[in-house]
Amino acid sequence: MGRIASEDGAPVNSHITLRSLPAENLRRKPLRTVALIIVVMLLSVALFGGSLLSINLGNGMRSMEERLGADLMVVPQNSAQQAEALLANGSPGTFYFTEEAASAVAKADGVAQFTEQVYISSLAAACCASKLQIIGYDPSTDFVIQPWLSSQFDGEVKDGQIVAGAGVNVSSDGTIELYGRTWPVVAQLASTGTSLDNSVFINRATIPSMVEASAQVSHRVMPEQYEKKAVSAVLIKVADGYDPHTVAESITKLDPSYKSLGFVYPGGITSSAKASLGSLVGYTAIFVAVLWVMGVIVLLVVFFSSVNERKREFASLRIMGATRGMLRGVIAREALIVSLAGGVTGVALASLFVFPFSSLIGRQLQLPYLQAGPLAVIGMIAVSVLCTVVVCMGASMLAMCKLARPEAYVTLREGQ
Amino acid sequence: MKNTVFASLPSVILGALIAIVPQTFAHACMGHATFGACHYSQQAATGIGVVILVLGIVSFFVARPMRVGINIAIAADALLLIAVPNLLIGVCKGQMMHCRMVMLPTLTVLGTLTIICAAAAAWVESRPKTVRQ
Amino acid sequence: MGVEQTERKHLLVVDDLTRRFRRRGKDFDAVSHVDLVMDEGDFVAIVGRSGNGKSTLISMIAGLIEPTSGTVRVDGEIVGRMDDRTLSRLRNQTIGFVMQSQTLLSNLTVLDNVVLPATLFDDAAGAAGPAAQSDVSGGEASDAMPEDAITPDPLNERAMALLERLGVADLAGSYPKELSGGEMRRVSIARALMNGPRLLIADEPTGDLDQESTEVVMNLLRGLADEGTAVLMVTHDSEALGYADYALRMDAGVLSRP
Repeated sequence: MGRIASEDGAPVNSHITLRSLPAENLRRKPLRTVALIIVVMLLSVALFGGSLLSINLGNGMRSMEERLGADLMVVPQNSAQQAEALLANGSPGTFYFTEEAASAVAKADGVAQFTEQVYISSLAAACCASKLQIIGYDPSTDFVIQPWLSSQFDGEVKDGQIVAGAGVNVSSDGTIELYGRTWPVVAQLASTGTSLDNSVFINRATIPSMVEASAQVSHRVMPEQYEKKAVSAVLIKVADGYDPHTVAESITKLDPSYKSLGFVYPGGITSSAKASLGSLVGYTAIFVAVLWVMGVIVLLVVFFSSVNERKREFASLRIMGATRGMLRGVIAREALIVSLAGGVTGVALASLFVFPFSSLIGRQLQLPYLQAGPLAVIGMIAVSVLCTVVVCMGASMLAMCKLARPEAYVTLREGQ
Repeated sequence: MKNTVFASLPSVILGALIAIVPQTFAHACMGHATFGACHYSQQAATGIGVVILVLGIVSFFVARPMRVGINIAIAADALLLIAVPNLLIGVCKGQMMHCRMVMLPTLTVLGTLTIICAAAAAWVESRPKTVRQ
Repeated sequence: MGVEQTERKHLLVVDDLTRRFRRRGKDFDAVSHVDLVMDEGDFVAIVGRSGNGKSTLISMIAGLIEPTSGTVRVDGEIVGRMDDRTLSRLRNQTIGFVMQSQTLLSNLTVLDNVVLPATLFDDAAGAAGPAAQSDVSGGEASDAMPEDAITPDPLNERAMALLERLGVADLAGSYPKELSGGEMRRVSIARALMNGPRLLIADEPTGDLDQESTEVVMNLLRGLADEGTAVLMVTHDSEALGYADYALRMDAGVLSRP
């Protein structure tokens, strides 16, 4: 505020105007102004943070649904839990059938399509890398991974080549070290917000050399006799009109020993994740709504009480010739300054936590969490700031109606 | 007096946090055989935190113009704090490592807050005192 | 007074003005059938005990309260029939109003308080009437000034000159809460004169003032009247009465010559 009278009280070269009056009013009541800005800021933090969280969870959910393209997974005895964990929260695991059961299950009634996959958990590398899930898939039968790969990677994954998930640390020369051997990475996939980000994908034919490598550096991840024919899971797409559970049942009827097989229903994992996502988003929405109702009440109370307190001020403006429109302008401008300041600080503050901590938030929530793109974020920023401005201006205008009614001089005498 | 507290106290609090936090919950990854980048980032952050803390305490007891200078120094230190895990030393590469998931964002946020507070303090303290009173 | 065929020429014509209030279920006329005519240069004082309707009368003249019956014409226009903008412009440019109570804006300095009325309407700044123009030399140096000029703003200059004339120029940078009652009163008068009003209405202008300040203020009002401003003053200060052309008595809402 450059307009300050100089030391001897002589005027400087700019004068007060009705436009600068609101800023002056706010500046001279710093406590009230700061308190209002904080209230508005809380509203904007809650709205922006809450909706961004919900959007990110929704994104993660959608991408998880897209990635779990199978209706039924048949896994070895006692491996069902490990397989679920692998799908849901990405703890890497190694398991495989010890008998030739894999292709047999495909004969069951209701199986439309099936493919075999191999899961190996890598060792934690020497330093500063977490365990990876190595997924070997069969390009000739695959219907789960390839549709997704082909959207981002042209061509085939040849033997010995690796496709890395978004979270995998690929060194600058385009290779990755696994079991003490460097492997060429031909593509890195976009983030999905799911456990797949922490996986690498290889052609199933690469599995034996991977197992051999493991045998050389530490313990062999699976015995030699299995390495060529190892199958960790049979992924099944059921035919139209069949329920995955019915298909699982008919599989167990193929052979008495199949009763002990593990069955995992990715749809069930998705739907349970969906349920917890739904309740989380619901609670967030309720929390934000309650906060907003309280915030709006606080704003209304503050504006109404300040109108009472300021009757004399407004009457005085009326007497010197301000129109009702000018008074409204003063109030609206004050509200605009406060709400913009609060709204923008709120968004900035929420951003300061939501963006840097996004991977931590995702892990703590135990739900797929995929950061929304810049356009969605910019949109949310605009919506949040706009909402706070509209609500703040609305509350001040409501209070203003009360002020506009009684005659100016009468108000002034009441204030005496 | 009010201005002095406003210009100095945030630096003291944030400096203390920056020094303590990397040694407690936002620690480097555990269980490395050898120390990784995250360990050195952690130690550097604590050091920078102590410097900010000391500068913050000193700024309580000096003249206004000096407080402006100290706050500029604090802002520069905070920039350094952000640069250490992000650029200069770095953290572990693994997406799910504790240092990347917790320490890096915590230090970034604390550094940003420190820069904002110090810049605001330097601005407030460098303005001429109004003669309206 | 109140000659029908000449009323267009008069600055202020109050015709059969009545305002009825209801107090404890009983109607009473705070202002009862008042007639009053004023021209440029008139200095009229209204005396009477408080509660006799003086403030209600001048509030109706300024269009702040609507009359129950009767009309107020300022410059030939009926005040009660104006829309908000026209009425506001009238209050801003033709009428200067000095309230009995303290009405300075607490968030603005004394100087800004005085300048503010001149900034409400775009054309207000140039339209300084006799009161302002007579004693402010810088008033005409209008917008020809470059942005970066150190030359003081003409509105600030005019306000300073008014404050000077009322003996409170040294308080220009202060806020109202730092002022005494008498100082506030003088600043209010300066504010009322900022746009060079043709009609100055003052409610107890010497209320909180000591002997010396009363003289300053009354000499100023007398000077304004001599320069052609109509001054309508409500007072019960016998010393102030001496400066007026004549005094009217307000008794139970009825205005009469004593």
